[in-house]
Amino acid sequence: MIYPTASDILRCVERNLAAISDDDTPRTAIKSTLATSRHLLRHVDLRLSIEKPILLDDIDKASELLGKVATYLASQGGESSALAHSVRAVIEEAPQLLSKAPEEMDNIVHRAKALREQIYVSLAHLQKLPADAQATKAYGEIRDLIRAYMRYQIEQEARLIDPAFAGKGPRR
Amino acid sequence: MQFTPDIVGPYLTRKLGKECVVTAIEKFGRGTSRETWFVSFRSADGEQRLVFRRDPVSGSVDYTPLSQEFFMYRQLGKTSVPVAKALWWEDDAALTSRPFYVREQVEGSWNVAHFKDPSPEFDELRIRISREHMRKLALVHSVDWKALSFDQHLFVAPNLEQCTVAYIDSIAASFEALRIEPLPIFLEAVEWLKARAPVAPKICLCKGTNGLGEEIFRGEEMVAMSDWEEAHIGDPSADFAFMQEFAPTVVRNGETVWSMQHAIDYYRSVGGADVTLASVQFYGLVRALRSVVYSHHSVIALHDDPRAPIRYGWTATEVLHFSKHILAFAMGMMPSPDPNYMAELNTSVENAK
Repeated sequence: MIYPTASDILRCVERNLAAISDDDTPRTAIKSTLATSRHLLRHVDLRLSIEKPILLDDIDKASELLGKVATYLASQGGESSALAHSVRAVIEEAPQLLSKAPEEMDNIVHRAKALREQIYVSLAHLQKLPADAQATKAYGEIRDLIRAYMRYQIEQEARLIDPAFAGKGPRR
Repeated sequence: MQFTPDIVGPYLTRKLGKECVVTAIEKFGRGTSRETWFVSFRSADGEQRLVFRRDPVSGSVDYTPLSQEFFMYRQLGKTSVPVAKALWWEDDAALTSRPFYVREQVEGSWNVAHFKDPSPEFDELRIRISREHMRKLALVHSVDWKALSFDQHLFVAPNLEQCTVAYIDSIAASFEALRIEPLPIFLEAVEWLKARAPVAPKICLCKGTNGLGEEIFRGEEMVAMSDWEEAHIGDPSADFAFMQEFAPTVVRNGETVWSMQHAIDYYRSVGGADVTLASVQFYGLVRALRSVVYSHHSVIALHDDPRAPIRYGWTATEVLHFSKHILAFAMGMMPSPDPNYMAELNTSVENAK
């Protein structure tokens, strides 16, 4: 999860609380907005506590995965090699970007998003490779690595979602 | 245009050509995608109630335009499908920055008394409501969509064999068109689903969203079907994939007397298509894919404009995460979510115990 950012959510909560402040707002609408706001505030609390280390780990994992993806793509020649080149360029950009302001959240988010974009683009490319290429062991292994990354990503996202919402009452 | 009595009253007076005094305006508390306003007014003809419908100021999470929804109501008004009568479309820039349309308000409620009461004494009620829904769905699926020109406005499946693949492709295209964040799980799911797409039993008008909260009841009769924003021409199985409690499982003395399979069998007995449970389960996953898309649209709305409805915040976080989890589970990548979680998500402050 990159968007919505914690700031996006806080701004939305603030505006919606203001919107239900007038006397004409029906009671149900007030209760619903307050219920949703409480869930979202718990979620933002988690984001503030653990999102940064989650994203830094994600950057490491994505970089490692992309290195393997680039190696596989380079071995395929043609358009795959060109994509391998651009994937490697993004991987190499990473440490430079983070070293400028490593603690800056915007910087971390930007980096994580850029790497994930390369995984997304690479996966789309892999899905279009000819059937004979898809039948190889190497192809299966690289797809398995990408799936493992997806699973990891959803598990980390669950740390930001489940404690804030599950079992905490109506959402709306 | 502000929907307040001092503005809507004169507007209605001009529009209807008679003196109108607004007596009440209330914004509907449910519904995530669009704003629904109930307007009560008095004129020489007595008391009347209308519904004003428009996109939120931050835009809708639906990827079909409001004008399409208006079109749906206009055309469905010519059929036996129960819908509120669509009255007029308003996009005069001198009056409003956000277009809206107006329809009649059908007397009734989205809530069915005791439907959510778990007491066995209400099991028969739940079965009757489910049957009523099946009868109305069979009506929807028998609409002559070509004669009503729905094919000029909605996604249309090319043929029975390619129906589901084409529908999945249309969902993927709508995600890609607005994507601000890469979601690899989405690509993985699109590929996985397309490889397993069933052949459609029929190509027909599909409503899209169904179940508790989507329709209007008077007593036990479904007097108006609402929320047509996800309508398309495709496999009727899609309409069974998002029932929101209208195909409940009822067990009596150890015997299952009602379930999704019973609902499908009943639907077929009243003229419905040859829908199968396997197809319905498959479309449940297509539904999760679609949920990723509209949740991502909530993400965009929230990121672009803090005036987005607060529910977009929820959709952009928990609903998006849950949808991804469902898809990952289906593909064997994750354990199953808690089976009760869906019911928890569907609980609102109005129907909470």
